[in-house]
Amino acid sequence: MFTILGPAVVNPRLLHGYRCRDEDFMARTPLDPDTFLSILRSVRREFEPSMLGLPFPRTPLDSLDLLELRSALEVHMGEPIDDLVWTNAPTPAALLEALS
Amino acid sequence: MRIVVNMPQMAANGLSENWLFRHCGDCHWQELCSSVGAPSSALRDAAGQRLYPTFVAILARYERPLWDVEENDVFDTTVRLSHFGQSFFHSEVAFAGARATYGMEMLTAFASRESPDRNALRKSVPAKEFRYTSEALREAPPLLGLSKTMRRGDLARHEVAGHVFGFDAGAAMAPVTLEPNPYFDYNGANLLYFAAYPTLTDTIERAVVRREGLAPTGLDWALASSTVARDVFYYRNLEIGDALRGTVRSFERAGDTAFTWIRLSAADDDMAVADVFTVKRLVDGPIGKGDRSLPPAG
Repeated sequence: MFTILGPAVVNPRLLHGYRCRDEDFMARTPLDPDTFLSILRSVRREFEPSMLGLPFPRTPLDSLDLLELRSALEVHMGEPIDDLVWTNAPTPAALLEALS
Repeated sequence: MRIVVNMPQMAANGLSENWLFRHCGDCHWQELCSSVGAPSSALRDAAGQRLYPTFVAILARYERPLWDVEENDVFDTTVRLSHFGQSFFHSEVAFAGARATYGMEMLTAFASRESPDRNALRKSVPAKEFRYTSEALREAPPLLGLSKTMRRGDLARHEVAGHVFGFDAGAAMAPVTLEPNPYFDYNGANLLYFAAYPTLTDTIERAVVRREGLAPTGLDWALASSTVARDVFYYRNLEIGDALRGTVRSFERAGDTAFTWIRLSAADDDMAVADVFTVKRLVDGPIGKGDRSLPPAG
């Protein structure tokens, strides 16, 4: 199989054909402020700690960044983020608090 | 999945790229629904809104030009699907025949309509109860990073199949305006279909080549050239009845190959709809078949 941009990193625990069970999502990984900021900066390099309290529309994060952020947080935490939690957080700091 | 190429899969000059995009996209979509464990019509967000897997980007690489595919050639399609978080699905689709493989790397994200009667889309995700069975990626696929950079216009250069496209706004040619055809270019959700973007781009490219006299031979451009690589970066959709503006941002020829970068934008507000980078083999080069006589009618 070809890969045009190079191989992505696959979690061997979740190989193709393995159906996730509810208990797989119970080992939730905690989210600390440093990790949260590190994930934010991996999504958008320009993100500074001083932006944590800004409303999302005033940060440099665009719609694809936000979707990548949500995905990266879900991968780190090992569980999907509730839509209400996601949409009700007005700032990155509020999101961190809701997820911690 | 085995496909025998017949007229429905073909265009005037070999395998239809429009059909190939539809086929590979459908394979991606079917594998996605299998992973999610729900039919496409059941894909909903937490609020119950219908979700559509919309394409973020597609990179297509063909080992041989599309004109090498002949009637009754046999191909097998394989799909390798993975997901990143709840939002992104990434696939590698290979359409493999005896003489060549036609491959696509695809990235989709879920979106829902901002309002029921408009084609403006907003990013969304399936309700958290959906659990996926495809490979789980620990990191974002590189294609996502490239798509974000492309969307922001931050790239100084973009490489496709060894050719470097430079970003020189001064090289743009006068645009071509056309209205996508709702009977063919739109899908069952009344959205401009992802597979239409390459075809619309080809139509614009052909019009510019004719207008500017860029064709290498007296042949029609559709018969004188054949795609070997295509990168499509999707930014937004278009309402039925709205016109599309295509601007050739660069057109270069090196030996038997032509390199075209076309920006599609909405004609009414000039907002970018897509960037399409295309590499085509030309008929008078050493790789093409050489004889591109017109096929019989019908």
